[in-house]
Amino acid sequence: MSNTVNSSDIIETIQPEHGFTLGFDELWKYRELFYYFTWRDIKVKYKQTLLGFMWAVLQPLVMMIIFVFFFSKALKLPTNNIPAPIFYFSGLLLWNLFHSGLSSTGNSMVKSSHIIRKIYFPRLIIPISGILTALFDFFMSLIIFVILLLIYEFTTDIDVNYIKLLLYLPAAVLITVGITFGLGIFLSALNVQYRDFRFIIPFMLQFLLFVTPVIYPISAIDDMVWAQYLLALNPMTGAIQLTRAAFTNTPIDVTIMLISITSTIIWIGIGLYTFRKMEKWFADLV
Amino acid sequence: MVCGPCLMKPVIEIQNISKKFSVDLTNRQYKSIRETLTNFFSGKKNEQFELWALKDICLDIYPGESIGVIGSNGSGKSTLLKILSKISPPTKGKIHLRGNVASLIEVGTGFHPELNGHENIFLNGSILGLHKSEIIKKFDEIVEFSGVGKFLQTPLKHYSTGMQLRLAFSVAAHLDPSILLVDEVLAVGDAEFQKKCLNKMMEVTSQDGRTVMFVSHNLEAVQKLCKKTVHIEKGILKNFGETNKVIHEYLHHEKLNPTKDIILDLPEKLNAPQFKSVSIKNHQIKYGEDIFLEIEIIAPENNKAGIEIDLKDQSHFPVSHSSTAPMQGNLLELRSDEINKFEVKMESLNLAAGEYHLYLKLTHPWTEDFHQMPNALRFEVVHSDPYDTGFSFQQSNRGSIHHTLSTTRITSKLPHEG
Repeated sequence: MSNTVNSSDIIETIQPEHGFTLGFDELWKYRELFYYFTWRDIKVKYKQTLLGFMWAVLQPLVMMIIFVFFFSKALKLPTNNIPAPIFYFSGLLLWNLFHSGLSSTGNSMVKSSHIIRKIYFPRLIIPISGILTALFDFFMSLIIFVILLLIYEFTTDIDVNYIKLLLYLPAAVLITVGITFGLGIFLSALNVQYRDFRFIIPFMLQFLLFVTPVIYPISAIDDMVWAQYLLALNPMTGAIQLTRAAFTNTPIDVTIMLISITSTIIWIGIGLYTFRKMEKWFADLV
Repeated sequence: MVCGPCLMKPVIEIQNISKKFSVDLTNRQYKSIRETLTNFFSGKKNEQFELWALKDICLDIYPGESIGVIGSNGSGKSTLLKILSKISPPTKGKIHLRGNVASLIEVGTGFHPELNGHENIFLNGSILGLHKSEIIKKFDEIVEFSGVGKFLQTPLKHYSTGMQLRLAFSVAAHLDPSILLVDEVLAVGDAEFQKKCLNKMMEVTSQDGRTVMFVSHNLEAVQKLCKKTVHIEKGILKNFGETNKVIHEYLHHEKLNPTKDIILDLPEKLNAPQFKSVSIKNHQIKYGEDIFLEIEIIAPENNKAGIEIDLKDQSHFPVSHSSTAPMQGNLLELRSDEINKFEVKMESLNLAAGEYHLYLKLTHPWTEDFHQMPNALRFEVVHSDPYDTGFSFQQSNRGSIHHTLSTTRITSKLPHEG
């Protein structure tokens, strides 16, 4: 361009297609929005509710009690020598993070259409804030989990390895957040184009609950190693196995972990690529 | 291209910007997977036609300029603003920006009804691109301008619409970018608040080095705020220059809507009569004059119908509704063996000066609508001065009909005592 010889002072150029970037610098510039969106969602979620934040705690607690009653007491499903409440709660802790994170990110772009059509900011902030909101609930129920753990340590002979727990749980949360992010932004981008995903997401979550060892231990299918590896493609399998490893002396199955971690990374890649490719058109489509 | 102050480089350099929309003829916003899959396997493509909302727009804007953007509805002016604010990408072309941009397509974006006024100021402010520290610094100013200080702790859902708009505009007015893009946001609130907004906008525009682009239907506001104006029509840059000159040409020399021989190739209903062509004889009238329309109707079968005319103002807000066949009386005879041609006279229109639109409908009143032509014709009231004062009444948010008033003094004497 002849008229832009000295273009060093150009702050920004708007053009049709400019390759693929992750756009991290822009996310950093708008970092305060993460806080405001998350803060808004948490505030609005529990506003005008009688129990408020207690709901974040009550949901997994009640679910855990139901699971203990039906699956452990009635159906006598094995719980890997871990006390049933601890076994189910540890699974539900991560599963709920995945579940609420994925449902809120999956619909987040469509739900925020009014903002998307009116103003620009890096669109990734919307689904990420959805995950941050889910993390808030996670930490609320984590407090209950720790209390439960302490109670059981003093009343039963459960052997909690706290060093393992401090290492494994954050790693498991990282895997869970990773797959929620990758799958979530992938679905949220497709949801803008095809509203079918509004119906697919809840259905998919229901299905995934059965192929995630929340209700049963993965050792239940010890005789079918290929099936274990197939389950490991779902990173929640690895994440939950990792958490529970802190309460048993059985070592972690490295293959399962590697499959789960690889699968997480691939999904983050697919998600980021799809989302970044499509995000520019969101305002025209949504 | 006219070179501005040549020492400075333009803050906004718009180079050959074009924007294409593919409009799906099935007229739905989003696709379903089923459709995509069946189309994929059957090799069928959805019927789409391309619509160029903008075509080859080139424009250089220099620091400190305030530019008005005018054009009729759907001309592409809002699309241009959306491209500039990065909401929607261009199909072709390039824009170089030498400054940070804040855009106001709407006031109150992101306002949440459950949050209170205080919280919404922070939420909205940060969505608009303000940093927390800036919001804190300007907080008192924002609250004072909005005049809702007493209700800061009240959830927004309990605010009246007017209060919400005032709060929204106050946040927006305290943005401090070097390039500000504004779309039609002044058309809110009551007359008094609009005046306050306009003054605030004038203050914002006149700040040193601030570049403003201001899209509006309100020509009066553009005239007040902007030294230069762009006129966009059908996606093409028609005119750019001094505001007064551009507005003058926009109003007086612009070719009005095509009015002859609009033949629709998509009959709405089979065998139903339809307009063949409609035209207006006098595009420019004065207060109290008549408008004459010439209407041709073809009818596949002999039929009876009435013509309904909706008069709308420049923002397409309804002014009046009239029919040639009120209460089914006076129906027009339509014969299949000829082009039925009618002259319709709309009598003594006491309208304020400005642009008006006519929406036509061919109908059998209360039974069946045959053919509709929204926004079919346009005319202009050039002079509205019933009292001969030299001052012409303009169409405004106070209405577009102007009644003449006459007063007669009726004095009665004060009762005498005694």
